[in-house]
Amino acid sequence: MMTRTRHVCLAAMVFLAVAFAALNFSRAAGADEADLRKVLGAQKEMQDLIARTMPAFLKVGGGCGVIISEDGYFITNYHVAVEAFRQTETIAVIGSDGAHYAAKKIGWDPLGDLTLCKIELKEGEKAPCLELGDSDAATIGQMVLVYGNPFSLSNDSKPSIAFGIISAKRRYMATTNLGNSFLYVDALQTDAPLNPGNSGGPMISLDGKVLGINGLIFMRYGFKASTGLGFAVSANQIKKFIPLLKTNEVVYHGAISGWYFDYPVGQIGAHVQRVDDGGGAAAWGFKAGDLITKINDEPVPTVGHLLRVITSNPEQTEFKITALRDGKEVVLTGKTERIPWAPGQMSGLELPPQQQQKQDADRAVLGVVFDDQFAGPGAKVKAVTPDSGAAKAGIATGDIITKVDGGPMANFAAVIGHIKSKKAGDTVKITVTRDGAEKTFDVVLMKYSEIQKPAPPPLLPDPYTP
Amino acid sequence: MTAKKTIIFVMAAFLAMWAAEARALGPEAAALQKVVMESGDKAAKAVVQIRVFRKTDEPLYVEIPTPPMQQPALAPGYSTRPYGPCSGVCVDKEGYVLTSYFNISGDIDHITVTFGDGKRHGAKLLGYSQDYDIALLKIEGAKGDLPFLPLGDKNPGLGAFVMVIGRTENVFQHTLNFGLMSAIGRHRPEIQAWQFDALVNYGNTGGALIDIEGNLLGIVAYCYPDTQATPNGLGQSSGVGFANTSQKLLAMLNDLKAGKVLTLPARAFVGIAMDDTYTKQDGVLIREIIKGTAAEEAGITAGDLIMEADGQAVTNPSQLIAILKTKKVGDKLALKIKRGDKVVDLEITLRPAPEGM
Repeated sequence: MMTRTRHVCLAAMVFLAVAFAALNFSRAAGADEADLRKVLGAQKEMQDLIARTMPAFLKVGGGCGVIISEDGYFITNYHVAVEAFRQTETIAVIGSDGAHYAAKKIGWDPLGDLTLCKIELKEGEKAPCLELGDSDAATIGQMVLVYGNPFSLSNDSKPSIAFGIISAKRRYMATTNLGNSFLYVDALQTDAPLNPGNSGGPMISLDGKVLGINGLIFMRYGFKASTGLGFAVSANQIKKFIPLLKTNEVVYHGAISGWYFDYPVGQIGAHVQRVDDGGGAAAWGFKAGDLITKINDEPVPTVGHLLRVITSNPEQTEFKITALRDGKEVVLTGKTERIPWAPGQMSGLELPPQQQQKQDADRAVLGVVFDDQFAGPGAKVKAVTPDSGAAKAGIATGDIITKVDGGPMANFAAVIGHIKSKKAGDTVKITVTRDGAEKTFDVVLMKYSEIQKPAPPPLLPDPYTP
Repeated sequence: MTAKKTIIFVMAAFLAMWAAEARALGPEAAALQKVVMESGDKAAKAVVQIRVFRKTDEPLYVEIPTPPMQQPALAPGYSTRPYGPCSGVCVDKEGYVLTSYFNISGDIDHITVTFGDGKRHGAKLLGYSQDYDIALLKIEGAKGDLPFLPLGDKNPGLGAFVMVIGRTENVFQHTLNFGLMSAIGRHRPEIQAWQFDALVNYGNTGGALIDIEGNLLGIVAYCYPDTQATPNGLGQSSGVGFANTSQKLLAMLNDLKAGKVLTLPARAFVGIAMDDTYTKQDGVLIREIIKGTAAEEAGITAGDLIMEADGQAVTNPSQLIAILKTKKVGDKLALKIKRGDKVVDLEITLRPAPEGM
């Protein structure tokens, strides 16, 4: 009896072992075949997607663009277009099939690093275009393709294609590049390699929609090559500006001026530390101590989120902002102001060339560059232009301008605003704080064309310098 | 333990294994990961580590071209070839190993080639080409039993999944970088390199570019200084890599085996500068004629509009360039040109580019 049981048991074990091995083997072999079929299927889909989307790609100057409507509107970066249109009003752009189109600029969005342009089409001709997708609905980890012409290596009209994922979205940063200041306030971050020449090219989702246009890379040691940190202006931000770009030569981003935030422990939201008298925030009715919890009924988790929502919209956008004040909810409504965008003053900001020529000739300038990172109050001088009015009067780097003509100055934008109302040759009284002591200088304003632009401060070999 | 209990235990164990196995198999992403790993493993058997021992171990200095948008003060002045091993691919069971010319340039004393099983062989340099960035090594005393990846004529096309396999410091493990085919036919027409976005650095230069099934597509070329962030040994890949194609290498292999030093043939040159800003799309407008070229001899002048080349209509420069890419020195090119109101037919014989062009 005992032996029989043991035999049965043994037989069962052997049977099961053999069955498992056989089953496992056949499944493993079958799985490999099936896996490869799946992967080859995915590869085919990827190649079909590329074939379908590539016709909307354009080579524009030293960068790229993407056609977004059948009637020939295309978008590119401001920093690509401003170079491409520097000499002429009409340029030739090249389609991925090699066709040369005549293109005109429609509208600039300099801070958003965006330009809307249009190609000339023949009677009845329809341009191959791609739809702008919903970048807010994009997920972190989602696969994307980026099209561009890195290092201008293309010897035909075809773009280079690279692959990556969305590493982060809603990135908020202010940065300078090629002497321009940009606000990438609602940017998509990708690890797809972006290099010089990729600017203005589309970031494409696997359903063939444009999620953004690639325009900014973080680099190390000043070398302009991919570090796996690339940024695209998001499609949702672009969509808000396109109607305005069609009717205005320049569009501006919105902001609320004259408020400062701090970060108290244990509070979720944006905590207003102080509000400047006479500033935009005061006009809205904000008070020091307000904790902003919602904007347009959407929760505000951080200060960055609040500023992104405001600044990724054009000026004069209406918002409803909810704040907690002394434990009670207050709802404030109003319109945003224009982000001060004074050419030549803030980190070498530039206007589009045509306007620059008009304005530059006899614009009154102080001759200083402000530190836009300085929190205030006052405006900190980052550099003084040699032979300018400021230099002749004795204003030095590091001075903090507190008053102009006796009026207090909250920040550099206020100084710029005051100078704007003056003419070249006027004298202004500038009061500065230097080493704790107050000093006053009489500065004769000079014409912008009379002074040189200050050299940008030297870049430090800091591995994290963008 | 009774027999019944044993059977139940065995069945339970079997079910548990089944369940675990079933969970491991998954969606398409798991399939991709598995295929990438397996194809990489399969191809890596033929990818070798190469060590080059030089008589004078002077670093190779390459002056960095300073891109126009770069701050020159921050650029290190020179590029050194890093010390340490590099990668190559065995393409024949008799031990022919292809690698990038960059890897083996210099004053060679001797070379060793090591496979993934740790077996080290001596090797000598046969033919090479700096222009194509390729070199052929022969393993000494090979007995015809070496793992290899055959050169073929696969072209998986734009957007296909590719991998770069290298073998460097730790010889028992290969390196794998994944990406897409970014562009087809880059650089000179004779080279027609493939561009891909898998990361290439000093270690895997000379390694294998393979497709998703593990077939050899090409040999990874040296990252040109202008596509690399810091070509000074910190070597940071930019996601712009190139490979010589299998097809091209197959055609060169006999010459390389014979120990030839190959150079690029002279470029067939017409001598016209095309107007890139012409957008009427009815031809290619000539902006300028370069002196002492076939174009000048044939009497082409600035302002001429090329309408046809070799009987094919051309409406933009890209189309004309595509036709010229197929031409060699000595070939003839028939052009139909609109000059004012007249249409002129011309035939020109292509010559090498004048010096300095």
